[in-house]
Amino acid sequence: MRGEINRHKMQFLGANMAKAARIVVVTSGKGGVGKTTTSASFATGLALSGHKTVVIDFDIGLRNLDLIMGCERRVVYDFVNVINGEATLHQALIKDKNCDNLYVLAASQTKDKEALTQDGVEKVLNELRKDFEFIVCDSPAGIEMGAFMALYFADEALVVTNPEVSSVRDSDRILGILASKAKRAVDGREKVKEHLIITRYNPERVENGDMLSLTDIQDILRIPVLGVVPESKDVLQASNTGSPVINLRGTNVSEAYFDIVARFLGEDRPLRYITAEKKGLLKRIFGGN
Amino acid sequence: MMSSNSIKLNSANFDYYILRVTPSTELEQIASKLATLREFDATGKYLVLECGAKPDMSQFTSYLRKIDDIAAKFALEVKFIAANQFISADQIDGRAVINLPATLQSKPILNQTLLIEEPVRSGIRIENDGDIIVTSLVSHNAEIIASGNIHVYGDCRGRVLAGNGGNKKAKIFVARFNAELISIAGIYRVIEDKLPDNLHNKAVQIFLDEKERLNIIPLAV
Repeated sequence: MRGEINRHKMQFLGANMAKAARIVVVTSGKGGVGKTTTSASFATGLALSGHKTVVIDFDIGLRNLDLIMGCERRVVYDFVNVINGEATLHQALIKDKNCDNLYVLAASQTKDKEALTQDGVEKVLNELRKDFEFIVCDSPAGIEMGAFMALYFADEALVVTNPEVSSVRDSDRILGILASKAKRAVDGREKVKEHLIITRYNPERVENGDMLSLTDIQDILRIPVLGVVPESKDVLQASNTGSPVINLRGTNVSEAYFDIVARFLGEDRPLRYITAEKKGLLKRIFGGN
Repeated sequence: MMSSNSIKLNSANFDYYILRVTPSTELEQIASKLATLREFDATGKYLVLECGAKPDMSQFTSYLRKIDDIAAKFALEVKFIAANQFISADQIDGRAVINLPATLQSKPILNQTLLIEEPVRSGIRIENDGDIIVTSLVSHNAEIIASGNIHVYGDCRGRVLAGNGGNKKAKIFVARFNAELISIAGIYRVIEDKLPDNLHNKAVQIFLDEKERLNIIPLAV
């Protein structure tokens, strides 16, 4: 009898937790800036910190997330199948091979973007809310239907930008859409919490004036910086091997993503990889990398 | 340039208001305009309808009745119709068509000042039939369009258009000026090259002089 009551209580607590699920959209406006790389590493980082996380690919027709997560061959049912009622959520969720707390919901390769309906997406998200603490939505590029659906239900947004003018402008545009068109804005609730992630940052090139600096970007966007990910060949290598780059332990990029996850979860960590390494005399003479 | 021009309300004297409509005026716009009027003034009773374009006379009576219904909600009555190049009949639907003396076309009744405290991002357009105050940043490619004055207390990098609808007295005040385009009453200037140092990213005011040229001068503090 006592056990019964306890279990009941636990279920009740569980229901409360489900309400606190946070939907985080990873978005940018511009393509190729690192949204999917960030989604994969951020979701993995959250899961490694002990939070049950699902990452959803909203790029219907051009799916990439499953490739980066290395679960391409295990995609049998996808997001659109669930929306259309052709599969259950349970059938479509793919458990990550390295991490117990992490699940992937892949996008369809064959359907087009119109397959995402607002009601359908809401239904799936509400179902996921019951089981997961974090729902990471990997947005497609652009500002059309897929991108809009990815951000519409968001509680928080990671805006990914490169240190380059057109990328920063597009991020500004996306911030405008978040502030005016997201469900929170439409309902008149507290606005979507915005975080800035700058990827492909190269402090040497910033010093030479080839790239926008962190201060330049902040001056335009005026939102808190969650992290700066340095430019690195490790990212491409990780993508090719089908593992989120955060798993390449010890590399700068992996460390930067761990910092991002820690800051997102409330830890106070100073920004790293934002100043150029001072080259010693020998290095300056002999070059090297 | 903009559509917010399609409806206008002027106070002619203490009892009469001139309601200027064009074919693109929506009935809801009339209702919101009259609601604004009532916030300013609770005493006036009559409206004079002025047409900004040639109306379709076969539909005009039914259109007039719809305006009557809206006006009645705000305790107003459409008493006269203003004679101009588009209206030449002596009376329409029992209402006299009168010539408005030029002196009666006095100050416009504008909406309340619109206060924006969030950054105005790229691609966002803010319009108000009245003044606009932005306390934060106006990004590149954002548009601020006001019938009255515009004040920007943050960085101003977008497009600012004051006096939309023809108010040549409207002014623009900016704390840190780096706008792409400025306009007052439709007279505009694209700012392509970097401005002189005393204006670039400085506090400035922008106004039309008597020859209708746009002036940008440092704001003396």
